[in-house]
Formats: sequence, C-alpha cells, structure tokens
Amino acid sequence: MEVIVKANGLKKYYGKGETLVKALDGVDLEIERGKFTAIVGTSGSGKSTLLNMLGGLDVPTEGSVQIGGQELSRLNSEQATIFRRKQIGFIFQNYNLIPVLTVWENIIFPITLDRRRPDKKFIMEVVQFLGLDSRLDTLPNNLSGGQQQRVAIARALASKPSLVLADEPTGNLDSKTSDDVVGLLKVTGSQFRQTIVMITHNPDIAAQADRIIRIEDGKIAG
Amino acid sequence: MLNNNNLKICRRLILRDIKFHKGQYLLSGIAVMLVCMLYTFTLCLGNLTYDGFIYSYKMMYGSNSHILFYDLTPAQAVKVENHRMVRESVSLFTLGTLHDEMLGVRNVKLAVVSPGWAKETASVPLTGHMPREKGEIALDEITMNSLAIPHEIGTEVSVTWTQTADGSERTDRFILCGFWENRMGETETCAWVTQETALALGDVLDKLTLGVMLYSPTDPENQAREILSDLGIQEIRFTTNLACNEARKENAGERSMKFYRLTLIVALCGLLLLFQMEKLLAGQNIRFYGLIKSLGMTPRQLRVLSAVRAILLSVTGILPGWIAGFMICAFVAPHVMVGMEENPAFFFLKIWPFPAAAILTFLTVFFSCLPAIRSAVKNTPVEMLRYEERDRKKRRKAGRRRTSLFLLALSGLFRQKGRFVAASVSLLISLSILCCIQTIAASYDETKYLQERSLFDYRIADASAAASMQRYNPKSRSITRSMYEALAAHPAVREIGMVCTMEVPMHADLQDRAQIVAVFEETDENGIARKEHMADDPDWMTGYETMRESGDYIGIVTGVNGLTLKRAVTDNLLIEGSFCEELFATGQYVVAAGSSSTLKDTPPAGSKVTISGREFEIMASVPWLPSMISGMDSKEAQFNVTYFMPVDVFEELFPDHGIRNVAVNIDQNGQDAFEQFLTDLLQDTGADVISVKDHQWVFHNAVFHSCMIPFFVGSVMLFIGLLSFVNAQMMGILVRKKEFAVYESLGMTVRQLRRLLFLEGVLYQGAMFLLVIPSVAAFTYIAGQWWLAHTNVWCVTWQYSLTPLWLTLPLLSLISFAVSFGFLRSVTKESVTERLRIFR
Amino acid sequence: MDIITICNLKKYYGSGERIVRALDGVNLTVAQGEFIAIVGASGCGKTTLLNMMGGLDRPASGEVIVDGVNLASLKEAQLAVFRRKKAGFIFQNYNLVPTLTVEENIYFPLDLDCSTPDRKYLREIIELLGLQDKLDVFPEQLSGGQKQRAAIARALAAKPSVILADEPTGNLDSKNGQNVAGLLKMTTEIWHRTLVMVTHNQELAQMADRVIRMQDGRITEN
Repeated sequence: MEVIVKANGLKKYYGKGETLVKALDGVDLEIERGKFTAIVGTSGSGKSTLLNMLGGLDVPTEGSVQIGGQELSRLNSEQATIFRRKQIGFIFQNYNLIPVLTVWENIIFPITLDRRRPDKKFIMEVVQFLGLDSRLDTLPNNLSGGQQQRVAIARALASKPSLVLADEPTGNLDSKTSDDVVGLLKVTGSQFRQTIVMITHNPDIAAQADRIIRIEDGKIAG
Repeated sequence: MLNNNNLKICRRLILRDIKFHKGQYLLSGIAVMLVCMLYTFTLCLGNLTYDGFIYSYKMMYGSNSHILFYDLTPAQAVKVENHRMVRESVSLFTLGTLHDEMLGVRNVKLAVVSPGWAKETASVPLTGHMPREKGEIALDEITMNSLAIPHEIGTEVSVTWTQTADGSERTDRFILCGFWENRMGETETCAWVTQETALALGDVLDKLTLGVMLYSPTDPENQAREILSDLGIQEIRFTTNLACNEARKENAGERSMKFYRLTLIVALCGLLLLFQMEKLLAGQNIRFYGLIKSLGMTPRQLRVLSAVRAILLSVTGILPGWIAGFMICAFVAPHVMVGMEENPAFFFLKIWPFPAAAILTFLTVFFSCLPAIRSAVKNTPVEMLRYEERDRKKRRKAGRRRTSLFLLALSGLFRQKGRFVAASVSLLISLSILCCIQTIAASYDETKYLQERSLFDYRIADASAAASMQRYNPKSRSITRSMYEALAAHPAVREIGMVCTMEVPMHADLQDRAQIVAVFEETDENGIARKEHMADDPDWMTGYETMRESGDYIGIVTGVNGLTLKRAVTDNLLIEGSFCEELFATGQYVVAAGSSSTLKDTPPAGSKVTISGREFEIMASVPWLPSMISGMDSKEAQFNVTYFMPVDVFEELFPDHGIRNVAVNIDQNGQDAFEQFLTDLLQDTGADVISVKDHQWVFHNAVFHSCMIPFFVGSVMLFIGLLSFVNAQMMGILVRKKEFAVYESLGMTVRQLRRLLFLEGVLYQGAMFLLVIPSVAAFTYIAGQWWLAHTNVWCVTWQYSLTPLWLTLPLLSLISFAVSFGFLRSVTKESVTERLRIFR
Repeated sequence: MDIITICNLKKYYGSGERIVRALDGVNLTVAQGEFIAIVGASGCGKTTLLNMMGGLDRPASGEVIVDGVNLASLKEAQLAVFRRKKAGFIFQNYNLVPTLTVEENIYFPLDLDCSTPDRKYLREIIELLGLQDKLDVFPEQLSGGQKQRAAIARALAAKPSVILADEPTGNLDSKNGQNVAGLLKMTTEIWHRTLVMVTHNQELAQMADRVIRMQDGRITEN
C-alpha cells in the first residue's frame, strides 16, 4: 500500500473573535494510491475546504499536506502551481471555465500552460464519452450547466493527473449522466492508476467508492 | 520547470479578453493615449524650451561659432583651422568698427567680404548683393535706419569708422550695393566691403578673426585655451559663444526643467487615472486571475501575462498619443517661444521625446497593473475566487423600511461611495485649479493695460526709432510730411497727430532747480532717497548731478498736434496748473512733462523757460507717457524734462526736423482698407507700425503664458476626473448586469429600472455638487484674494469667476445620464434568463 | 380548473446546423393547486420551459396561458408586472438582493408594485419558514438553507398564481434539501398555490402530485 495523500492536523479558521469560523478543525487523513474515496457531509461541514487544502488551492492555518511524498508548504508559490497542474486534476463545483476561451481551449488550457503537447487521441475519447464533441468550438456561456460541468471534468482528466479531486462533479447532472461520469472517472482511474477523491451529496455515488469519509463540523466523523 | 512561460497562451487570453470587453478596453486605450499624449507634450515642450533658449542666445551673440579668436596672423589662423578639436572655421578680416553715436550700444564691424562668416551670422544681403567692386558696401537694416540711410541700392553712404590698426577715426564714402533684414546680430554685425576697398583704405590685412566650430561644444573656454597652448600661440584674445556658456545652459536647463517637472505631475495623474481604471476592474480581474491560477498558471506566468497586457494596451495608445501630444505642443509652442517665424515645435523637432514618452507610458501602465498582480501572486486561488467587492457590513437598526426605488437608489449610492470619492477628488482638485486660473486670467484687466500701453489705434514710428533700443535720429526722414498728409486724408482716419522731438540744452534757474532736486533728494516711504532708485543708470545720474550743480540739462522739446496733443495733455493728467488750448496755440506757452503722475520733477507752472533763445511760460505740468513715443533718446538726455508745444511752433524753432511718430485713430469699419493703405504707404521706408492689436496680442500672450501651465495641469486632471467618472458610471452598470436581471425576474419593469438609474444619477450628482460647488467656490475666493494681495502685476482688477465649474457641472450631468441610459440599453438587450446565468 | 395551459411551445437557440431545439413542441396543462415536478437529463429543456411559464423568456412559437393571460400578447413592461403579481420564482442560486435585508427582500416584489402588504399573511409565512430571527440580516450572513427559505418567502409574498422553482435544492445537501423541499410543499399546500419544480433529485420528484419527464425538448412521460 502506498499513501499518496497525507494530511496532518489540518486546520483552517476564517475571521476572528466572535465571528471565528472553524472550517477545518484538526483533520488527519491518509489516502492510498489508486483508490476511489468519497467525502460526504452536510453543507458547511468543511468538505470543500478540505478538498481545496489537499489540492494546494488554499493554505491551511495549521497542519501540513503531503502529496506523493511532497510537502506542499515546502514549495514556493511558483513551484506549487507547477506541481499542482502536473499532478492534480481539479473538478470545481462551479466549473471555473474561462469565459473567453472555447470548450477545446478550456480543456487543454492546463496543458498549454505547461507547453506540453496534448494527447489528442485520449482527450478526444474523453470528449466523445462526455458527449461534448459537437461543442468544442462553443464558448462556455452558451452551454447548459450540465454541459459546463462535463467540460470541467474533461479538463481535469486531459492531463492524465495522478490525483483527481472533484467537488460535487455530478451536482448539476441527472442521475444517468451522473452514473456515466462516475463510471468514466473509475475507468480512467484504473487505466492510469489515478487516485480519485470526490465530494458528493448523492448516497448512490458515495456507495460506489472504495472508502467514504464523513466530515462533520470540520472534523472527520468516520 | 524553467521553460514554462508560454507567451502564446498569454497573448490569446488577452486578445480574447479585449474582444469580449471592447468597451472597457476602449476606455483603457483612451486613458493610455491620454497619458502618452501628456508625456509627448511635456517632453517636446521641454526640449523645445531648451533648444529655443540656446538658439536665442546664439542670436544675441550674432554667430553660430563656438569660439571667436581675434587678431590672428594668417599663418596662425591656418594652424588653428587644422587643430584636431576644430570641426569647421570661418575667417574674417576686420578693418575697424563703425563709429556713430546714433548706433548706440551696437557694434558694427567694417570687414572684408567672407561668405562663410556671412552665412554663420545670417548677414548675407537679401536685397542687392555682396560688394563686388571697389567702393561698394553692404549693410544691415538696423544700422541703415539708425544712420538714416534710405533703403535704396546705389545710394551714396558716408560712414565714420575707427581703424583697428592705429585707432584713428576716419570718414569714407561708399556706394550701397546690398542690405539685409536682421535675423541675428541685434548687437553685433558686419558691414561688408571688398578686399580691394580694404587695401585702398590702407589696411594690410595681416590680422584676422577666426570663428571656430568645435566637435563638442562643452566648455569652449578651456578648449580655446587648449588649442592656443597646443599651437604655442600666446596673447590671443578670444570670446566664446554665449550659448555655449555653462551658465546660459544652466539657465536654459532651468527653464526647460519647468516642463520636465510637469512630466512628474503627468506621471502622477496618469497613474491616478490608470489606477482608478484598474481598481474598478479589480474584482473582475482578481477573480479572473484566481481562476487561471487555480488551473495552474504560475505567478511568473501571471506576471508575464500582465506585462503582455500592459504592452498591448500601450501599443494601442502610443501612436495616437504621440500625434495628439505633438499637436498640442505645436499649438502651444508659439506662445512659449515668442517671435519666431516658423512654428518652434517643428523648428526644434527632435526624435528622442517620442521613444521616451513611449517608454514612460509603458512603465505607467505596467505600474498601474501591479497591485492586481501582486495580490494574484500573494493570495491563494480560493481567496481570489471568493473575492467580492465588500459593500457594507454594518447592520442597520431594526425595523423595516418600505423599499422604494428611492431607497434602493440611495443604497446603490452608498455602495458606490468609493467610486464617488475617487471621482470627486479629481474633480475637486481640477476644478479648484481651473477656477483659480480663470479668476486670475479674468482679473488681468485688458482695458487698464491698453489705456496705459496703447494710447492710439496705430502708432507709426520713424525707422530710426523702430526698435526699442534704437536711438532716434532727427535727421531720419522715413515718415515724410506728404505721407502724413496722405494719412490725414484717408477716409477711415478719425483723428491724427504727430510727435516731433529735438534734444535741446537748457538751463534751470535756482528756483526751478530747487523744485526738481527736492523731489529726488526726498526719501520715499521706504526711507530711500528717490534718486537712489536710479543708481543703476549712470547716464541718468550724471545728467542729474550736472543739473543739480550747474542747472544745465537736456530738454526734450516735443511738438504735438491733434490726437497726440489730446492724449499728452488731458485734464485728468494735470499735476499742476491748468490747460487752455487757445492759449497753448498762441505759441507763448509750453506744458512740462515729468517722470511720474505724482511727483513734481519739472520746473513749476508759471515759471519761464528759454528754448532755443525763445522764452515760454510753463502753463501746466503732466506726467510723461512712455507709450507716446518710440525709440530711445541720447545718453546725455537720460535725465531730461520734456516740453510739449504745438507742432507749428516747433517748426518755427527747428525748421529742419523729421517726424518721430504719427498717431492715428480710425473708424473700425474701415480697418482692413486702412491697414492695406498703411502697408503700401510704408513699404520700404523701414517705418514701424504698432497697432492696438499688437498690444492686445502682447497682453493675451502674457496672460496665456502665465496661466498656461496651471491651466494645463487643471485640464488634465479635469479630464481624468471626467474619464474616471464615466468609467465609474459604466462599470457601475456593467457590474450590476446580473443584479438588474434579478430585479427584472422579480417583476421590475424596464421603466422602473430606468427610473432607478435616474434617481441614482440625481442623488450621485446632487451629492457631488453639494460637495464640489461650495469647496471650489471657497477655495477660489481665498486663493484668488491671496494672489491679488501678493501679485506684482499692475494691471489687475478683481474679477471672481467660476466659469469652469458652471461649464463642467452640466456636462457632468449630461455625460452621467447619457452613459447610464446608453449602457442600460445594452445591458437589458439580453433576456433575463441569459443574464441570470452570467459567469461571475 | 387549469391555471397553466401550454400549447405547442417551441424555443430554438442558434441557427442553421448549430440549431439547438431547447423546446420542440411542448403541450401541457397544470391545474390550480397542483404540484408538478419536471425531471430530465441536463440540457433537456426543463429550465427553458419553466422560464417560459414565468414570462422570463419568449417562445419562438406556441402559446403560454397563465391564469387566463396569454403571455405572448404582453409587452415587456406588462410582462414585468405579470412576473411580480402572478409568478413567484425560486432559483437554485437564490438571487437575493445583497443590499437588502431578508425582510426587505421578502417585501421587494410588493414594494415594486406599491401594493399594501398583507402583514398577517406575511408573518405567518415568515414564522412557518423560521425566518423571524433573521429579518434584519443581510443575505451574505445566511446559510444556504436559510437563503433558500428567504427566497421561498419572497416567492410567496405577492400571493402569485404559480410558484416556479428551478432546482431549489441544487446547492443544498440532502438534509437541508429535504427540509427546504418539505417547507416548499407545505407552504404551497397551505395557501393553495400551484407549484412547478424542476429537479433531478428523484426523491424530491416523488413528493409531487405529478412528474413530467422531458427529453430533447419534448415531454416523454406525463
């Protein structure tokens, strides 16, 4: 067993004094390589904050995060960003598509930043699977919410990252599409030995995971 | 890891961003253009001022040469010419110096024709030609006018001159073969003769003057010494060009610094403007940077991205900025460098201000982008994505108020208070400056100025008194009696008069002397004897002391008639005695004129004076008006008393006299015809005309010159204020695109939306007016009064003016509503559902 | 009695090859007081249909008659008045006015209309939705569930003929979602409002009197 994600005493506080919010209040966590982990919990329990910390998108108030043996806080901002875009595929809850770029440009954007050559064959497969092939030249604003969600998923998978972090990737999808997307994540996951960590509200999806982590009030409840 | 600066994706992101936000980028482009324009303007103007002053010093020196070596032997001259530091040289054989008291302070050298020298000193004949034969001479026009030589080729000229070789004075006759209008050499110029003539005049041509152009004009004094010591030549006199003098350069540098310092203000204004633009877009930008950062754009790439953006923005604004800046410069330049025929902006055009302006513009744009980039580098992507323009957090006191459109507008206004303050500050400062300048400019009293400076519509001056430093020569006949008659007969002429003067030695008896001496020995309010004020004029002091001791002085007997009499002696000028025209006409009386309107520095009224053997009684005394008469009087007459008498009496006394000035008042509707007539009449006479228009021009130019810089700064700030105001309005609406959609989805009609915006506009402007009007009015009043109390300008009358304010405020309202409704239309074009889905 | 009658409704976006048939001939009637759920895959046209019923969007062809008013015959200004009087919207992302307090938000449609609020009725709604402590608070200080409850109160305030809810629980976790949906159903039942809700949550859909399934702009199951 190989641990790819390791969090130690992770804390994140917002505000101060009376309005202090403890979004994360001491989380210890280890996630094995190649596993599919689901994070569940009520809204405001700190799930998204935890995911942001694991992906290096936010800095913890206290504690440390290691990804593949690399201590994130040791990296400077420049290195951390490059590390992140090479190792981690992030699927955002609100898609975070760049409004001025077309669907295709959005999908290959992180790869372009790295000056790498996109694996077109692989990406086209993903795109076709997600039913986006007729939409590649469209701007995100002309897509429905579900379609935008799928573009975000394609972008996260495009660079074949070793770790996929997904924040409610099926929130805007109907149940059939949701099942398909989770299936895709699992297939690419096993194909490229990817580790998947997913936040979800859907108990059916959570049930498909290798492991379920429940967060309550900023702490792991089980 | 190093190789991650992908310029292509940066460029694509920016170009798309521009494509999607054309309006915002257009505005930014205008702002950049404005900044570049200001830089170009100030740098061009600074450069022009520097070059212009150096140029004018050269004009004064009379030569472009850096060093003039005097009294070299031809052999020495050849050596100097071939010295390594000498780029070019021109030589001149000087026979001597023209000697005539009518030349005053000017130095005119009689020299052998030297085409090179003539070119360097702009003394090539424009009419006629250079002397070719023995006995011919070429002269400049000022010299000719002073010596009363008619402007006619072939005239026989008698010239008195001092020979350099032995210092002897001699008079020779020459034939005039050519002359030129003075462009350089106001104080020093040449009179050309041929080598043959020189030899005939007994000169051996063994000494020459050498004008030298150096490779580098810095410190010519030392270079001159070095050249001489290198060549082993001693005891050679040399002078260096005033324009190359370090002190002069410093002076020119100081004057141009004024404009270079303006560059600093421009940089500040530009930064302020661009910062404001960036600030308005801050939320949008930060979220965008957060977004691309979360997708893996590194801080370094973000910096590259912003640099690319700054470059693209600058590139669009620079070319129009250059053009606009140079055009303003070309407009302003003639007022800064007065008296050049060409537009100084083109004459002194240089390349360096343009690239310099471009670089400064780029830096300004880049610095204005820095805050957004810094926050993008510092903050985590999540913090940036969550970034919101926090409005207000204060809890209002409990209790619900009915949400009317008015209250909604009020809350909108509160949310915009940052923008409100930013726009108000620029407006407040700029309007304060502009109103002060307007008040000052309006307080310069043209009527008062013209009353003092321009007594007549036209004043025609004899050629020998055309330049202010020229001494009037009574033998000059450029204005003839027949020309006077012709003028008097012209239908447009309403009033006419002439002035004739003659310097006459006079004697004051003890009683008269006592009155005059008392005035000058008396101490003024500062406890200084009045004569001490004249201490820096030795000629005056000599004349005064002579009068005090012996009673001998020079009287300037002045014949006046018609218009000139009316202006010279009017009731409101009288210091002493009374004036009766009939008695004056009898020729028994004169009117004495002293130096000021309060002092009695003339023999008292009622006393008798003897002029050219005839006795007159002084009827009254008046102050002498400087603008009555053109030109200067002799050195000996610096201390004088003027006596006015009728022209016919003057003629009886001095039958052989010229006319110094003719004064004319005309009917305004015959103006064009009269001016044409005047031009034709005076052609080739050398006589000069000063019209009331010239005085007006001088006045307006002086006002313009003194107000230009603050006016310019004020205008720039006002423009910036207006631009940020428009920007704030525009962004205020664009940013609220979704908010408006929410209102509409809840059932607000477009009309209600429009009313909401109207109310917001009214409140916003109301608040702004309430702030701006009283502050600007008060500031202008206080600053204006302070200026009035401290200024040393004499022709001012307090004139409180807030015109810029009254002009700007309606414009502000107009712009505000136009922008609001224009953008509301574009914002509500999309359907509510589309807008509710807007990406933010 | 039918409160909503929809007749051969069509809405196309784009043109030529890239034409999207968001609605392609929809016929539907909704009875007074009925609670219907519209379900379907993402991009099937559910939201477009809902917007048509609320007069937020205009059809390409076909008729929408709500409470006896043919929406096609209304001008923009009249449509706005229709929206604030006859239709109450509940959005997935709440769309509360951030500068108004909760209470002001609830009264907002009434204030726009300058109509006198029925205070007793409003107090009942506020108490039922548990908002009485939050009336003077600005939306940003509320949790997601509270925000949506405020939005429900606002939708009910003007006593509209129909309540149109677009994924009202989309941003809420399941517990909060159930809670909000329950409140929504209860309030509409108490005051006999007609409720049309778009969702892809099966459990929510089952609470409805009738489920309408949509696919590719058409109704496939009624």
